[in-house]
Amino acid sequence: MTTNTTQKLQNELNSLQGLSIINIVCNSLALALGIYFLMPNLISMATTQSIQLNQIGLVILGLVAFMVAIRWLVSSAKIIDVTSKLTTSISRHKKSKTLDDEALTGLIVKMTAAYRENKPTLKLMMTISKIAGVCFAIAAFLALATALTGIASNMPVWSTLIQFSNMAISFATAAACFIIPHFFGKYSLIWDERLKETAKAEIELEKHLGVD
Amino acid sequence: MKRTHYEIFWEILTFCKTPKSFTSIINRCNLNSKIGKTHIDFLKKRRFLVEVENDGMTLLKSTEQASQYIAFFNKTYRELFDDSPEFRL
Repeated sequence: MTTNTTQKLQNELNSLQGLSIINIVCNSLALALGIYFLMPNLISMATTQSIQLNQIGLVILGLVAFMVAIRWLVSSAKIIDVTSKLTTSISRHKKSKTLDDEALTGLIVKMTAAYRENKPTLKLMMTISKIAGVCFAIAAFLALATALTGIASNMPVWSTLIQFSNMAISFATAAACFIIPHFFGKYSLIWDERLKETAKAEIELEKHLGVD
Repeated sequence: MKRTHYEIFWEILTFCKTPKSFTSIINRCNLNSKIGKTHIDFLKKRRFLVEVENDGMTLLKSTEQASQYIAFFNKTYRELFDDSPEFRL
């Protein structure tokens, strides 16, 4: 029983940690996308001393993407921090052979409390991830359009290839950005159910405490 | 961490299986002194915690009554976790 629970705890933490790492990768790409739109346009505006309307649009888009990615990064780091603290706690107990019933319950309490505290962060991350997915999909279509225009206007092959690879990366990232919220949603669903059960158990715990 | 009162009570009672000082309880259970005092007073009133004297120091120790609460809490939280589906990627 204890082994099963430990294994389950470990598996859940590993899965959450894996998901958070994938999340950080997508997040870094979103950060890169923001800089990709922001910096060249800012430099061009500064060097040519002229401002075009489309450049302003791209600078705003880049800035928004950059800021959202930073917020996303902070949220992901928060989740990684929680999972690594719990993983360290399990390892420490395993090492010192103190992973008894009480220690396991303690870990479950910690996980429950951590979920309660980070529920808004998870929801925020899911929303940001979906928004980033849409942005990456738009970026992928733009890259595809540029590549096709390049083929039609006899652009150098390397330039077209770069656009195609840009499109492939953007599409893959967009797909990941839509898959991540699905798994975070699954995680939330399981924990929301557990929280519902703890709320039910509180009635019995109250009785044990002798509260009327 | 966002814990319920019941979870905090469980942490205090488990920690106090061997006599502990007020300061060590609030440090271990991550409570501020005001909230810690409220929780400890509640547990003392319900006879889940008793004061014991040790080398001139007043320590707190969980009672037999507390053991029943701890056992029920352990059972409930373990079942709750074990009986729910596992999250996997």
